[in-house]
Amino acid sequence: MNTMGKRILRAVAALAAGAMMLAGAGCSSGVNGTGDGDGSNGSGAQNNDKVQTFTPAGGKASATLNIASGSENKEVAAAVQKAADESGVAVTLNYMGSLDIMSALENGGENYDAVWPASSMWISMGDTKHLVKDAASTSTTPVVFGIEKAKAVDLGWADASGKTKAVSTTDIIDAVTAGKLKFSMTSATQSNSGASAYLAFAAALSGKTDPLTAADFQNADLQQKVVSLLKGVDRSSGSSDWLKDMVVANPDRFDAMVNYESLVIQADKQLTQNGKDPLLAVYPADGIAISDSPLGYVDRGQNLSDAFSKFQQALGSKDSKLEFERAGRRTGLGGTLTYASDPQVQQSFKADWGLNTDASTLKTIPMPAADVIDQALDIYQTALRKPSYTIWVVDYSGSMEGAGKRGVVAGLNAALDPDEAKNARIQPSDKDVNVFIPFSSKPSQPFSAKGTDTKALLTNAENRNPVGGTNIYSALDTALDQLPGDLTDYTVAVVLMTDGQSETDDQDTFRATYRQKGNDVPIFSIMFGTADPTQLDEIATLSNAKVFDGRSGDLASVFRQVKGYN
Amino acid sequence: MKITKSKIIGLVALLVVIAVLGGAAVWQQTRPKPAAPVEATQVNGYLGGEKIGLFDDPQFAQIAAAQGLKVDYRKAGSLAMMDADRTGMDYLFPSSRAAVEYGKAKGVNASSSDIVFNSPIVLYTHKAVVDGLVAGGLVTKNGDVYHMDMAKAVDAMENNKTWADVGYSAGYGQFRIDSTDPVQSNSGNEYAALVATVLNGGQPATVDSVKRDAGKIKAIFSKSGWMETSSEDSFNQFLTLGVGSKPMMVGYESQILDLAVNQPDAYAQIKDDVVIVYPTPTVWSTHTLIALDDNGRKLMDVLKSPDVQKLAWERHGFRASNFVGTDSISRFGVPSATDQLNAVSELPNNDAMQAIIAALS
Repeated sequence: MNTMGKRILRAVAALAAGAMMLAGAGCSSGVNGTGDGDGSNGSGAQNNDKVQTFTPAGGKASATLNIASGSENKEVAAAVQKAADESGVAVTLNYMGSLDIMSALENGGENYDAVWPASSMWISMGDTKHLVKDAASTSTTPVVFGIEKAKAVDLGWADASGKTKAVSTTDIIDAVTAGKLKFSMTSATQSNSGASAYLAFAAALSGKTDPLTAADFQNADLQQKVVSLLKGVDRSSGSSDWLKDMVVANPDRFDAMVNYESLVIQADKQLTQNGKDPLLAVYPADGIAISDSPLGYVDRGQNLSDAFSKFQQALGSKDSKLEFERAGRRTGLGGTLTYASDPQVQQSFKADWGLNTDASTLKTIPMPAADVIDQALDIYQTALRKPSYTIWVVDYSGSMEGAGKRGVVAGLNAALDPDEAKNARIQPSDKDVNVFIPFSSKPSQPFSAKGTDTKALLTNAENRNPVGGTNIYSALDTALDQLPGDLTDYTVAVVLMTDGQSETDDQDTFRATYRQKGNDVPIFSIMFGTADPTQLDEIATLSNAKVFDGRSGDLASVFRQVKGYN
Repeated sequence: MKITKSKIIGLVALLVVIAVLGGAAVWQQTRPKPAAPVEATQVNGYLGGEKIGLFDDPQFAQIAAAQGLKVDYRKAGSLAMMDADRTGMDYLFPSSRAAVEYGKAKGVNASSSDIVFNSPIVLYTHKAVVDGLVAGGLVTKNGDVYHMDMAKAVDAMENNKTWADVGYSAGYGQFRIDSTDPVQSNSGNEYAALVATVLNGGQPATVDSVKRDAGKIKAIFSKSGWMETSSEDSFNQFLTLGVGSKPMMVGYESQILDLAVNQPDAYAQIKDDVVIVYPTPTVWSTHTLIALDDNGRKLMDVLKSPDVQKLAWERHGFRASNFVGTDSISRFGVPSATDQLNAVSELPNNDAMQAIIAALS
């Protein structure tokens, strides 16, 4: 797997999920956001969600562990806090995708003292330098389908009580290809749950009962089947946690998602609280994958192994385990619940949400060999995934002169130059479309690039001079004119980047236009300079999207993250 | 001469002084030495994951410290460690002679190496699976002890039998035995040797037989697809994920014994479900230390000391060199474990082992 390491750049800022729904929720006292954001933007502090520090209650920490963690661990904050309290060790969780964690290990562990990905697989593949010690599972959760109750009943997969039937992956695939079911999943090249689902779909579509080989993934017939299945993906995401938030924020638009059982539980808690129908957990009879969530020490000679042992032990204590299970994870061996009789655990694993605590429902497909996974992910990115249609709306107002423009151009190159983008596995496919709309007081003529030839677009961005004022709303209006004729052919997104406060003359017109013909297309924003978070938050809320903070750190990495979302 | 009273007093006084001084000196000598101000010698190397339990054991650290050593490790597969960067490393501690030979071929200086302890290669599975396999005839049961007929198992895999075909009807897909990556880790490597030997009619595989059977060996390993690179990870996954992920795996006998002693709570959760199945034949895994320098040789002395040999057996389940069956394996309270290994096969010679690795690379 060394080749994968070389091809994936270091993971810098992992913009994990869920700020819009979760800001302030789920964190007990002692939890402090220490993200790059200045915190002045209140509930819209989207960027604080990529780093979270847990300090022991009542007293100074004996040590602090810097941990590269999967975004799904945001949901077990209570367990982490308990462990910090009990061990006297502070921990900083840096949320990122499992594949980013793998590449951090390949790079010598960077500045991390421990890793906590969704699956052991990423440690096995990434730990080519033999740095990881004492990796042990903290909890398990299977990857399942969460299907809107009415839909599941319609399809005959559940009865009115919420009890689900055994459904095979091919049943689900048939429903999707027949147009009876749409679903969303995370990007297979950015997130463990998406990678697991993609590999399970390919296995089911191949009809083989033994693991897929490289030759299978080259098979044109199988490729065609995967392509037509992935056409049913109505929205993608770079992170499992944010995928869940997206579905919760707009349940009417989404039939189903592929996600961790624990996140289906979290979604159902929020959905029912909002008076909406829950998703039912459907466990494919032939299995997908199980996340075993291992925490392992990264030995860079930094002498924190004692602190690590204390924290790891505390995380395995009764108090912490109970919190894991209350959050929807399983902590018993063999996929069982340890505290099935705890009332709060029962409130999570509810039978009428389709939850089945019998460990025999937990199955995984025979996973392909490491080198096959590597190739399969490349083929997904360049050929099999649903093509993306991305409209880049870029601020070229006068204030962008200098650093602002340099950052934008570097970011566009990181996302769109096929060679650069390949490092983060976000490279364009032959069928992708990228539209570039520079704007200042008003938008310029859109410039479009089809497929992998993005050179002219990037040259255009490079040679353009920033001048004039800022009107994001008229530019977004133009973007909405550029949407493809059939939205279902693509994963569509608008990416707005700006460094200033917009003139507001066209704000109301834009809102009306969006409601009329925006088709729920997400408008992601990357803010830097003196951008107004309030304006951007409002756009994100309107379009069920997300604001990324490009004000500090590596703008190129932010672009990669944005690209991972579509 | 006449001894005056004053002389006597003087003599007594002198004797007292001598006695006090002498006593003080003796006391000084017998008193325990103050905590050694000398730094303990750091010893670092690559360690097969299944021995981490021993190296992390505080008792082991104490015994090593008494000899002035502080032992550290990096986890690596027995074969993978032969290709790893050895800068600053004092030892390599793979799990077989075969790995040592492989290392020699890769330029590792193994002139200072010795077997430290042994553990047989076994299979781990779940109650539901083993009951099915007993009914299906691949496994025989004597009391609480299970034996897998490897000739029948290899035949079933060659013929792409499903789990249902071999008696475990709840199993999904083809009958397979998961192992670690045979090109990186010893337990997978020895399992490959066992398969190659079975395919050679039970005689240790040879370069010629491996050449003849390479296709079959590869086909059997391709059933597993994903393979862990460490026996420790593989065993942990087996325990954590349950029967739906890894119905049956190859490991070391020591692994469940170690779990039973050191993690009694975890063992209690699985003791009615997880069983050892001894393959017939099996092979010995001979855990062999290669000292790369003087510090490595000091570690060798510590490992070979009676204290560590005893600790390795009693608390970590490695059959030490002085283990003669007087102390039964029943001490671990693992019902499916047995003292008696009735059919142990020789490992193929080094050329044949190299041929197996080449075939699976």
